[in-house]
Amino acid sequence: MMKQISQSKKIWKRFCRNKLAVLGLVVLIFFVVVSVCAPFLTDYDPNRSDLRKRNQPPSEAHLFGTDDMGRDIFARTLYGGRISLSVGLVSVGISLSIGVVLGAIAGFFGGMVDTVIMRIADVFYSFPFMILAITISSIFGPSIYNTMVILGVLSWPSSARLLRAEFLKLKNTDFSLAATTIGAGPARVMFRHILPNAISPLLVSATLGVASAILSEAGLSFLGLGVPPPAPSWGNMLNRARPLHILATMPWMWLPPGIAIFVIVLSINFVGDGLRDAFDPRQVMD
Amino acid sequence: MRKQLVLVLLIVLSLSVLVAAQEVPTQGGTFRYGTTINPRGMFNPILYTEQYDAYVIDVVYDGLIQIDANLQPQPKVAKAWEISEDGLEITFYLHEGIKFHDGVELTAKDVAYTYRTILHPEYTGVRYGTFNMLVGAQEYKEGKATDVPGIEVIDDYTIKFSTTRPHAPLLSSFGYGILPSHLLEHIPVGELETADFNLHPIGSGPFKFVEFLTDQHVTFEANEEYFFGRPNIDTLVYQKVSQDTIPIFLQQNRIDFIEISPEQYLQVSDMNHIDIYVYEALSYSYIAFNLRQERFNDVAVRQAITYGFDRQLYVDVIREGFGIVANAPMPTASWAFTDEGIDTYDYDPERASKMLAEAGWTPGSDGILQKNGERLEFEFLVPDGSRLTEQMALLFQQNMEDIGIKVNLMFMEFSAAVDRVDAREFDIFTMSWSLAVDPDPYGIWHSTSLWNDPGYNNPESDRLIELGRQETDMEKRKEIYAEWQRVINYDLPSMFLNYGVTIGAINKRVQGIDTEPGPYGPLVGRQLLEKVWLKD
Amino acid sequence: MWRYIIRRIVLQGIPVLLGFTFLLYLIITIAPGSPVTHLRGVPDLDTAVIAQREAQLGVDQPFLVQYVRWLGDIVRGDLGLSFDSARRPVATLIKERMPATIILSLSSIVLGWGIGIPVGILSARYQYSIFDYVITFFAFVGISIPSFFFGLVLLYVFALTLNVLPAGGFFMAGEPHTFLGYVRYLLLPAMTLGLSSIASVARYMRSSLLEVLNEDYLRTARSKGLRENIVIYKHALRNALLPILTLMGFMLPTIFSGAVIVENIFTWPGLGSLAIQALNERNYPVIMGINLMFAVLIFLGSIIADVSYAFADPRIRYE
Repeated sequence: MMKQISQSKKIWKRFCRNKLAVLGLVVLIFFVVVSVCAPFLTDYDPNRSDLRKRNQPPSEAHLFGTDDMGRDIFARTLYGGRISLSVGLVSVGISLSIGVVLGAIAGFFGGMVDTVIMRIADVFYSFPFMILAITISSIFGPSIYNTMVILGVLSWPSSARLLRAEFLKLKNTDFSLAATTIGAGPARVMFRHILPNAISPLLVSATLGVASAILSEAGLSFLGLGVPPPAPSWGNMLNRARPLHILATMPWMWLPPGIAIFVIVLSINFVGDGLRDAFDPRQVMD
Repeated sequence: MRKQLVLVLLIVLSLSVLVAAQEVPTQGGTFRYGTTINPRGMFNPILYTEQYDAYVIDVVYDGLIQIDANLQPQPKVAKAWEISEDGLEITFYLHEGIKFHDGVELTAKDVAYTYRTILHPEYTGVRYGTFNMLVGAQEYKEGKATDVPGIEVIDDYTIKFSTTRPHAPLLSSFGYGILPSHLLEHIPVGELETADFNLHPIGSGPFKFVEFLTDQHVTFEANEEYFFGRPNIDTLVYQKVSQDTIPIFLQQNRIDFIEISPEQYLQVSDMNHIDIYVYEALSYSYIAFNLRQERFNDVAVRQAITYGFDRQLYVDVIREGFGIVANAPMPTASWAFTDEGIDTYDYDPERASKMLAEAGWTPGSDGILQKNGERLEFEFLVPDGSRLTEQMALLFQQNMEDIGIKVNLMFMEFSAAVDRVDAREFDIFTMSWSLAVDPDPYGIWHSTSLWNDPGYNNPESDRLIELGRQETDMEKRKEIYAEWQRVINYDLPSMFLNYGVTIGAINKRVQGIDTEPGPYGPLVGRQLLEKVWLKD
Repeated sequence: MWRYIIRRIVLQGIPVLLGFTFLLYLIITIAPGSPVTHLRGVPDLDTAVIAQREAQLGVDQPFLVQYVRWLGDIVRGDLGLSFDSARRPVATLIKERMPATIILSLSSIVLGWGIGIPVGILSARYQYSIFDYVITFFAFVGISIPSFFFGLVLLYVFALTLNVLPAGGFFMAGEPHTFLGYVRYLLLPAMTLGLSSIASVARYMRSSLLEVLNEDYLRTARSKGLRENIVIYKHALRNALLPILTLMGFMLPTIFSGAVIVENIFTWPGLGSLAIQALNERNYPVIMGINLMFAVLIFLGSIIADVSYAFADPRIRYE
């Protein structure tokens, strides 16, 4: 136990040394807080349209102006953040759940089981993401939940591969052989001994996965297949700005969501990179 | 006296020179017609289904007749026609000397080939339904006969069509391009679909097909030997332009004509070298109710919902004024349109609430109307693809909320939405119909029609529709359809939203256009392309 | 080595492609919507035509029958006929659009590698300098901006405001296909598609090179007194480039997916727009054809990456 505590402290110290990573973490926390507190930060209902106030540039009444349906863009950016963040988190959750289980099974049992699971992973991996997303959103209609499921289900191969690699690494070491000799059952070996070591690369992968999911959701919504109107998502807000005359003359419609996506993904990437450096024992520069 | 005469002569001479100088068309140049969707490559008049293939067919082929800017049939390949007293026979008299692009003369044989192929048992196209009332068509289609008595070649330049019953819309259907039988008759009808001819069409039209680059452009050159006079322009190009970049192309003078969206109007109207024409289209958009559901089977509910939606605001603000609020399924552009006795259902939420209350709907604890335990909450199926439709749906949802009706928007990809509609699994949905030249509403509104999505079944409406198809006198037909519109306007099986309005942007260098365009625009579809000239 | 390749194709490639095509066909047939939807607008349509058309396209058959039939055609090299009214061979449709997508993908790969590798090398060489920090920052920026947003920004700046580049599309009718013309139309889409490539390649190059630079055997070379540059460029680079090659295999799927969006924004006449159109119309043969092609390309790409890895590194040998 003592060893684990000092390990975590060491990792944290290494993380803090990376200025960009710390900055990213701060920004990330800021976004999360702001999203959660959205109702307190704005009085406007992000879905309520007022056609008399369409396309208005930023003003005192509307911090970021209004969109083509007269809705307040500041409110929509805030609430859109909620949606983008939750899609990112839930889809990674789904992806991890599937990936960790399948990867562990593949890694632990090896042989035929391993081959079959990895082939299935390859199948999912070759799937052109956009096409599958388009097809599924046609079957079930575009919605927040379907987007989360699609993104989660399509990205499990990467976490599965990761887990499997961890298992392969440790499976034949004296460590796990010793554990089995003592009489620990396979499940126990898996969870108590191997899994904790896999957490570091998994955490890094998950963090970057959230960034990737947010980008993918934005892409889907941009094509009209992700989060459907009237609910705001940064991606579908950008979609509304596609006509060139809006692009050219009404930048307040697309700059807030675009910059928001960019900043959040950037922060997550900084954090993920920082985590990777912090966990990596080879980068010993203390 | 002589001096005055000379003076008059001089004046007349100079006037005529002036007039002539204005009107003499210049030859040459390339006309760039902008399209937002690329054609498929089925350039065969009896096999195509896509609109943009029709654009190509329009200029490469000529048909017996041509529909003019007032939606009336005019002679083309046929110089004249006669309809018999009983309305059962149409005889077309063809011009002599019309040639296909390969030099072979077009005769009645080619006309017969074109129409008979549509009736052939192995025909793979979709036009049979338009001509199935020709005498002997059914037997021929079923393979029981080897010829169609209803298509009779009298001589090289005369052909007669006979029908089993009078059918008013039939005449307008004779605009199909005439195929060169000498190039096609040896191909089995079932294999016409994959013939190379469809990608390299030969017709008798004003332009010869040159090249088709998918997703980019189609090019044509003027038909030097065109029977009705060589077109003034040398080359015609259908240029694919993406919807969003239209204003840029117009600005940079890379397009001579293209249709623009209401959102682009302001930007384009600022351009000095571009003229804009706004004309009423033969289309209407609607919100259909599923009349198979009890709650929508009550006409009071349908009328109340219509009163409760601010359609005028939708047209004025969301469509930026480009549209006309509709109250019946006959657009203003159609000759059968009437506004006599038509209720306009002006936005009146109080009246809507009152009507709903009288129909037995009372507010529940959450503010949503309910009756006998059933809430007035339903799903609005909205096919995606149009920003304006999306905005309309949002406005509708809000307006309904204001009168206590909960509407759940279901945005869906177009094909999937059509599936739901075909399966009748919808509460309400929105779409639009693009109409044919003839106002016959049978295909959409008759109770036996497949496309009668609401499930509207009114014997009076059916009777009027059937009557209208058989009546060949236009004035009488007009009356019948006026009556029918009033019936629909009262019943509201669908809420009618707006009649379409098209905005055409044309470069000022194009001369000879129709400056007071009907529904087909300043180029009358593609017809004036053979007459316009370019002034640079 | 050939044995390895064949083994991979048979044991990995074939089953994966089979599984993939099976799943894909299943999904598209389950999806609501049918290829005959467009018949809705045809006036006076005789309803028998719909059933006739469905029979002609084979979509009235159960999914398994359709799939097996399609598979049978594929094995004989026939991609089938498009479901739309022109019924053109799928192979022709793909051939017409493929050059455009390949040009776009290649350009973005060239940009990615051409800019990314030198930048990554320099970044590693001058580690912890201002240059390094700036490059690292921009690399992060590059992988964080959604490609479509970046594309819109580029459009806004170069096409709308400065008006120096076209706002999408390809050569117009009659426009001569000059090299300069290609560059003009290609520049914005390729930059948009290539942005994340440039960024990831630069970062991976940097970290890979750094890793190698710290290896023991290099310390030996340094201690022998060889100049720093020679150390880097001769010994380290070769080893550092290896992981980048495998990176290519991973990046291909991303590039293809990204191409769909980029082609959409810039109306680039490539396979992406054909794919989207085919999806909307439930044009099964075209959907399957394009996807199969991409899957094969991706698979081949990963084999090539692995094999070149083996070539470059004598330590790795495949039975």
